[in-house]
Amino acid sequence: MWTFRAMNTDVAVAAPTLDDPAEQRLALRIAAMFAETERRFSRFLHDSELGQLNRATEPITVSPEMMELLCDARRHVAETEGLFDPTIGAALRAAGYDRTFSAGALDRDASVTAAVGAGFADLVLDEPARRVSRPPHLHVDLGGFLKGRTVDRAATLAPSPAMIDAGGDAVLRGAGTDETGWLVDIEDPGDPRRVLVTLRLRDRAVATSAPNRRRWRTGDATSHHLIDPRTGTPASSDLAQVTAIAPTAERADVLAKVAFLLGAADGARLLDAPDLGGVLVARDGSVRVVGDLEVTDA
Amino acid sequence: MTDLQASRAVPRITLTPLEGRLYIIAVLAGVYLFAWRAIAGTTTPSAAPRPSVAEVAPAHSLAVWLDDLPVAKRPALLLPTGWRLASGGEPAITLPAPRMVRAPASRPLRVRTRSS
Repeated sequence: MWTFRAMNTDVAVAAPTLDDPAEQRLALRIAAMFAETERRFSRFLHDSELGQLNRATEPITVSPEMMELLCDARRHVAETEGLFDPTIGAALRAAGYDRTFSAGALDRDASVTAAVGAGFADLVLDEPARRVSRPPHLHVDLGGFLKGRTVDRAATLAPSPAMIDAGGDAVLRGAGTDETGWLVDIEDPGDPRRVLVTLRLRDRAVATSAPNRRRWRTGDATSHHLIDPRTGTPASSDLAQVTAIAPTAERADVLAKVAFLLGAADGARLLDAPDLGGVLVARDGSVRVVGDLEVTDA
Repeated sequence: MTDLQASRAVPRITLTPLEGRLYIIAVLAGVYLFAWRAIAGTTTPSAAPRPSVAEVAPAHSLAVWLDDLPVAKRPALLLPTGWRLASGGEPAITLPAPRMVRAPASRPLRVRTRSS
């Protein structure tokens, strides 16, 4: 297994059937893919294509990859009735998330200011011409959606079995090293040293959303990165953490966020569906596993 | 009319076996020479002077900054979306090489999922 840093997180690559040099070559290819994706689509890099889009004052032509990203995001927006919405960039900035996160870096004495409301419907996509126009108050943030998508793309480079894990957003190809399934530990959001549940997964992707890590002080309050598009402010939920299991990491990431926003009851209903599953941790510490998932003591 | 065409005398060329072989060799040699000149013409430096680079760049350099060229000689470039022209004084923008670390063999192959 090889690890590297990308998208402000640790990425691990393991392909147990490859010999050491081949596994390293795979990891290097994946690292290059992550670096290139970050360079092009990070909202924190001034010269990224996303940075240019977020500064554009008139319609601009975007790359085919950017248009594909935005069109796929639009599909998720429609499927989730707007609970997933990557046009929350301005709300994130207003909440204080205006630079790459690190512990304490976003702390400030000022309280949160509200951003002018924006939604994906305000973003005009001319798909055939690859032209995009945005109102001045709308900023796109591709965040975890982009990370999940990059994990999915990386997994297409890997043989089976293989594991691509970007800070908990992971694709698990095959059934692990011993054909019994990959082991996935769900971390306790209240105590990161503890594992709440361990799942055994085969050919699945997993992603987790929680406000316990990316949080910062704003005046006397605390903000976090999970913005509720309905309010444009950091979400308030009766859940402390949601882990979603889906066929792709992109979808798992979207579902984890949406289930968190929906809360315990509706979030569980969302994830209790064919091909999906989830582990929901309530703020009182109770844990609920939904979907056809194998829980193990391993 | 058909009769007239049919009655026209067609000149016949008769070759001895030796003449035939020489004829084929000559044709092949011609094709070879033509092909050789076509290929060599694309790779052999032209005898004509190439002043544009030589005038502005050191003799040992094969590259030249656009802003070192006289304005009249700068080519018009259509850049892909997201690209921009950098000044010759700017450091090149390069992606940092990923620092790859091999995980200890004792580390179990399992995922620990959490918000990140």
